[in-house]
Amino acid sequence: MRDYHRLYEEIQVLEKKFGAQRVFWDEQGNWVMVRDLPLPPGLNKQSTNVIVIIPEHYGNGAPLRDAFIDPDLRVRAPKTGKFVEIPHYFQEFPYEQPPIETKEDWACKKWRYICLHQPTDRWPQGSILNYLSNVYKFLAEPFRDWQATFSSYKEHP
Amino acid sequence: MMSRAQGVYDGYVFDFPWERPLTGKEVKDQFRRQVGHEIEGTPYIQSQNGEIRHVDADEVINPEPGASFGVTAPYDTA
Repeated sequence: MRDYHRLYEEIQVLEKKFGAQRVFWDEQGNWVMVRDLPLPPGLNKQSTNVIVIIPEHYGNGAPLRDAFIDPDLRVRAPKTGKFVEIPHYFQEFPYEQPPIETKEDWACKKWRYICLHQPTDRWPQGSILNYLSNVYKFLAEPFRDWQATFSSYKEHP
Repeated sequence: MMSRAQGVYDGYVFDFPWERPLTGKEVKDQFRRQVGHEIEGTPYIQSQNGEIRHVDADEVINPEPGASFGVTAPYDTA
C-alpha cells in the first residue's frame, strides 16, 4: 500500500517549488503531473510537462520507475549541432504493460516515456522532487554513459 | 589563488573553495567532509547558465568562477 502521508507531503513540496497551479495529481495517488518543468540548455524546448507514475507501494519500498514527458523533445548533438533523438526516450512504453492505462493510451495522448529508474525509495534520494531533478540532469547529458560514471565511484569509496 | 563556489546537497548550501584543478573524487571527498557522512552518487558541476556536467571519479576539472557543485544519487536508465 502507498504511504499517502508521505505522498501528500511530497506534493506540498512540489507545490512550493513549482507553484500550486502547475502541480496536479489524481485522487487515488496513481500519478503526479508537473506542468512546464524547466529543461536544461541544449534541448529544443525550455520546458516540458511531466507525469510521474506513483507505484502501488510507494513509501513502502517501491521506488519511482516510470515517467512520461512531452513527445517532441530533441537534443542538440555535440558533434553536428543538429537536434537529434534523445536516448532512453520512447514513443511507446518499452516494457510489458504500464502500471496505469495502456501503452496505446499513453501514445494516443501524446506522451513519451523517459526511461529513468530510481534504485530506492529511501527519503530523500527517492523523492518525486529528486526524481524530477534527475530527469533534468539526465536530459542535460543524455549521451553520457551513466552506469560508467556512477560505477567510477564504486572503486573510490 | 583560492576560488569559491557553492556546494548544494539535500537542500543545504555551503561554501566550496578550491585553488587548483580537481578530480571528481576530490569533489566528492569535500562533500563528504562538509556533510559529515558517506554520500552516494556522482558529483556534478553547474555553470551559471544552467549547464550541468557530471564528473567521473578520475576526471580532472577546472571550474569556472560562479560554478556550483552538487551530487546526483545513482539511477538506472536501462
